[in-house]
Amino acid sequence: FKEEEFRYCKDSSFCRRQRKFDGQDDRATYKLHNAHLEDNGVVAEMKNALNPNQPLKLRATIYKSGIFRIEIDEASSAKPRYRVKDVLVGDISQHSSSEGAMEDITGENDGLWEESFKGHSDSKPNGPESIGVDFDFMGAKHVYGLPERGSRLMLGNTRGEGAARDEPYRLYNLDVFEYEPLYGAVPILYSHRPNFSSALFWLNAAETMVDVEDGPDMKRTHWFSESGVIDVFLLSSDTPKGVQMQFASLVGTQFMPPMFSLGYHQCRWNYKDDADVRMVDSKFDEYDIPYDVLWLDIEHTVGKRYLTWDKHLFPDPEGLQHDLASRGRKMVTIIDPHLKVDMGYSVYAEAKRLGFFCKNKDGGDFEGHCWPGTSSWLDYLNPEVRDYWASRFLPANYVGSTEHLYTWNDMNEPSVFNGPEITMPKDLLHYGNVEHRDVHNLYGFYMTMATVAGHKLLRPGRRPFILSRAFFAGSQRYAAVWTGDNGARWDHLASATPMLLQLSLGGIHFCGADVGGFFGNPEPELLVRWYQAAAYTPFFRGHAHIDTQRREPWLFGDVVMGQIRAAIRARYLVLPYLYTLFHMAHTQGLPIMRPLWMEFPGDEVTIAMDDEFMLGEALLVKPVVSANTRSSNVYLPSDKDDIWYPFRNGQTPKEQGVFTSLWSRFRGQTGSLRGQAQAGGKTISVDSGVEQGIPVFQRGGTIIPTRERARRSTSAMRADPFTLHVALNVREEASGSLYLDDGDTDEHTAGGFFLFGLKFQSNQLEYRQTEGSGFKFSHPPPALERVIVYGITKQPARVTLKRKNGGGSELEFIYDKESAMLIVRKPNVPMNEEWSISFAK
Amino acid sequence: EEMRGVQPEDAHLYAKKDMFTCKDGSSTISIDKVNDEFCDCNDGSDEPGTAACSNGVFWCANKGWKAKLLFSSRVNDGVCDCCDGSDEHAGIVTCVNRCQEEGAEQRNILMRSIQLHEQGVAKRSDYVARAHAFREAVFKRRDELGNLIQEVSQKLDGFQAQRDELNKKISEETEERLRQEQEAREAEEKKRAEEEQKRAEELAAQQAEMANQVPSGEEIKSSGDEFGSPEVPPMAPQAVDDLGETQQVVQEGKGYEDPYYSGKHVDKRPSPTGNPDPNTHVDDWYSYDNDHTDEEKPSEDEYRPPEEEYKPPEERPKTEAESESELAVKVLEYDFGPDMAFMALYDKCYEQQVQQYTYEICMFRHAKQKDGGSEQNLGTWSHWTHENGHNSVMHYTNGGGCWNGPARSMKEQQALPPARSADILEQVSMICGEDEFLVSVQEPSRCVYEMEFMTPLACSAHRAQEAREQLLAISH
Repeated sequence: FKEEEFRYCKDSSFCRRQRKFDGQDDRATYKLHNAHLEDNGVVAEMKNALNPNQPLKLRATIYKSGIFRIEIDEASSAKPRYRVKDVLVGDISQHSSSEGAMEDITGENDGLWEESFKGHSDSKPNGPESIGVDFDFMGAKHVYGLPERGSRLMLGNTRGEGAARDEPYRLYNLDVFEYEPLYGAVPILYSHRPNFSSALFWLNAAETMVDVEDGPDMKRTHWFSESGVIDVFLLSSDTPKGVQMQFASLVGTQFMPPMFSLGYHQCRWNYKDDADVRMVDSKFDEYDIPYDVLWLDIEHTVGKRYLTWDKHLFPDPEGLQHDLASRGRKMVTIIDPHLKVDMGYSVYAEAKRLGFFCKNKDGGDFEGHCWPGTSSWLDYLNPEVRDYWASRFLPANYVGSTEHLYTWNDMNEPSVFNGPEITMPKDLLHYGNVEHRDVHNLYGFYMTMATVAGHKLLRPGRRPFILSRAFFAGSQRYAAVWTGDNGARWDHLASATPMLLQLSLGGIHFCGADVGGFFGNPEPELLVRWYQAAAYTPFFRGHAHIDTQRREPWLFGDVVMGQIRAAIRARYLVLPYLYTLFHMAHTQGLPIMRPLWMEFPGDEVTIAMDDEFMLGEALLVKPVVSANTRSSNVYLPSDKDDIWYPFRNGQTPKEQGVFTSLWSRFRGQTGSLRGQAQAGGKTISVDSGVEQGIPVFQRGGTIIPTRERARRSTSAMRADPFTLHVALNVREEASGSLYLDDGDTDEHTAGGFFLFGLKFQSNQLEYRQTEGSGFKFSHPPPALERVIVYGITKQPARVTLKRKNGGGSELEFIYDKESAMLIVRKPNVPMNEEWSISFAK
Repeated sequence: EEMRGVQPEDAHLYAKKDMFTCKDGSSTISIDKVNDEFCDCNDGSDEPGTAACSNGVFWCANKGWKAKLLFSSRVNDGVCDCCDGSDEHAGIVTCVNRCQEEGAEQRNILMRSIQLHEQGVAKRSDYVARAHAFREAVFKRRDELGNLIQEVSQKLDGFQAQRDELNKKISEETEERLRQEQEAREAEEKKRAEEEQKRAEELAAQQAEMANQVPSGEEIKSSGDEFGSPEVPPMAPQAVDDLGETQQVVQEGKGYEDPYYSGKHVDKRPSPTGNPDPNTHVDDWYSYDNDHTDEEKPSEDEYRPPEEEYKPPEERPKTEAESESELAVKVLEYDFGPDMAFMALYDKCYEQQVQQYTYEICMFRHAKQKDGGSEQNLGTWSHWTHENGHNSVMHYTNGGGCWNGPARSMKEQQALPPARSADILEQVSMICGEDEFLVSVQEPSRCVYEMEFMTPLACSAHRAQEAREQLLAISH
């Protein structure tokens, strides 16, 4: 039934009209008049023959970062058009609005003033307002982006001969799951070819469509939105990362998450009661499986009244949270935007009294259906409503919450069970008399903004953690995002990779898919494969529908449990590296999960690949997405002379952290360039049985910091020593970095962190602080436990540690010529001071 | 000098002055590499006191309570796992020694556990006796039923033979009469016809009398008088399927409210002491008839069919007796434990209220979920899972269909001690109790239910002994 809920282009008047327009009517062509310089841009009047008395105003601006912006609005109009607020950051100015309705009406009355869909009528008080522009990506053969949809990463054509599909790409946040569009929208489209990357960012939160077709040596794109103004940013750089950083300069970077949120999250609809939560928590310890956060879905509330606890099920929620917290763990409760219509429910009653709900077109409070029955939706566009919402998170208002409680914002597209396409009618009214039509894709964005404010009230000076299903450009500043309601199917495991890469291109870096699949019961092998893949994705959570069988890791016997434990431990092992990547995403806007072409822009083989991904610049991950796989074909990309080393993926817990047994693992691997290295630029076959884990490779020339001790949570690792994996390139060089902070507070924004650069060059490994003024550890500072150097061709005579304070010592090491690998035993130098280790020939 | 984290029985492995050989013999290292925060042995044995080996174990003495083995992942992780705090020695947290108070608390729990198990074991003989009586009654009843079936069959056969004979006689007499009539017809045609009519009526009366010699269905039931022993539960499947009856019992408050649990215990049979509870409504059809035999049913003398009615013996009592007999044989084959003690619980029903639902379990029969007027079958009796020779988990299967989920299945955990775990804290739950009681009902996944049931039959001398040993270990 879900598919029928969708409105297709044929059902939508603005889409029909826009698509019909072929640009051949000369009368519609605008010409520039009175162009002149103003501030840092060009301003001009635009006129066409069709509506000569309705001129448009154009402003073109070039920013220092190389971003080119075009804004087009009407020169004058009775009612100002909506311009997206709060999405752009920094010194990008938000120009004041001009006026008017921009759509050129050339044909018959096609749904101009009213239309209806499946019995829902849309009153359109402002009449036809749609806008549209064509953009050509010259020389481009491939385009990517436009999250969120379940398609391949590379976007096929929607028009022209041999088009992959008929429908334009649609951006409209919806809960009509399993079909696109999905829950969130980032209107950015990338094009990439060797040595040139560009992107177009369309700053408009109304329903938006994009057509893609081939032109002569170009990709043509046609963008159109139902309302709002044309506000376009053109980004370009010689590298994909450069474009990513430009985009981040516009819409902001990834929020720096608290360390615990990078651990494993255990969720289910629903952990039923206090005893159930304690049982699940204790089983993780009983089986020595690490996890950090236990989640509660909608059933924990009093009749789906969010910000309440069902006291029969959870008689002492504070005690429960404190108990989990005593072992370093956190809890998350779900808090949705639909508030049950019930004057006995204070969150609702107070908002009702204050007039804080979204309004019908006639001014009354909008009511619709969702989980609790008849509900109203807070108007988060109103700053006062956001303040109100934030204050709800204080323990005095959210009785039963503690500082150990975090938040999950679901259903915030918003999902309205009895609304058109399961969402709000477009003619609802928001704060400032803004129609829902104009801001639909921003609803979830504003909700998470308000929830973040709540967390900051609850925990001043500490980092929020929120998971959201809906998002818009810039949502990465507030929330992590998951891909919503997937199924326990191999093809859904397969599509997780392109979907997460697509989100990452949209700047939504802290993203993940539900492990195991939300609907249905995964066979054990599928479940294990999902853990193995998701361990390397930014957000790592197991979740299941209420109608599914229990699937906690210990329910499938010792063998499967051991495989899942190994996969989760593999995640905890790479946390220092992952946390450093989050710092890069936070400070520079660099993605955590990257398509291969982002790291290897010159390797054309990677252009269509979306079944492998890079975790940062160092790790290549190839999820296994089919049953009974014994070996996988892995393409090892290469820009120039790249070589690759198999990375320890935690599948052999017996050997984890063990000094001598590391040898056997890499011995006997054939076809190697230096020891266990593989030359890039080719596809190799890699053993990848379910007990061996998925293929993971480290790129030569990189250094990965890890923590290799088995622990029960991130908190339990805080004093653990580090291991450095130094993978040399063909020049026997490597570099990397390590970011350290307290994992919880905002001190890092004031310099309270360490960023160390690692460089291996001329047989010397150097550890130098490059940024940050440091912070004080609440425990003995962690030390360096071991250094593993891969691809070192000659045995050093000795390995010597030199500390900054002048001290030093000769270090014990083992070298194996055959595998060209060297392990340094226990340098034992604190990680908050500089040092160097020389490998004297 | 003790090596940190080493179990006493392994202490000798770490006793050498210069070298240490990994427990698995895989390599030998200098003794100063033991507990030096670096993992050198494949088996993790060189780091018993640190977290350096992910596959290691840590031993804490916990004087005042009891020694414990931990995953080495718990060492210096900022959480106090040993009550003596010896697992945290790196200065990440400061642990207070809680062994004395935990030991005292555990002593109380263990003493209570010993008491419960011993009491439960003592009660077991009562159950066995009841089960025995039950079985004897079933045997007796089965024999009676056999006799009844035979008797009815014989009477049915006898009736058939007599009727055949009678019919033959009638037809012979009729032939003779016809012949005589032929002779006398012309003389007294009208008068003879009247005489023949009279004789035919006499025959009919004879037949009716014969039919009365076979007992009616009602009479068969009343013959079960001796089955009214209070030790014998009903066996017919109709017994508890009647929702009205069951609910009536609940409303009349035949169960008791436990102050600690909201569950209700509903015993539809007379109390095990042998004194029938006057309020108990016994709703099986044998005893129902017992209740009414003397008062309402007409006596045999009064109960005669009208003479003119022609009525063959009923077959229904025979088929009912056959199916009852079949069920009796089947029930006798159930697994009631090595000493048959669980037979004493056959068809006893217990209830527990969880939010709006009332859950009912009728032992060896079925489990139900009731919500107001509607009820959901959670499964019928299937089989036991055994653990350590004990009947530990009952399984009820093939419940009603479940929307969008798996077929409902019922797994009733009959709280026997989990013998697998070495941590006594997990064994303190209601492993055995003074009386039958439905402790809890869980639905861990949609349509999968788990109950915990308390009974003295779950108590074991072995567990009491274990607890006694643990108590001794604390005392040391």
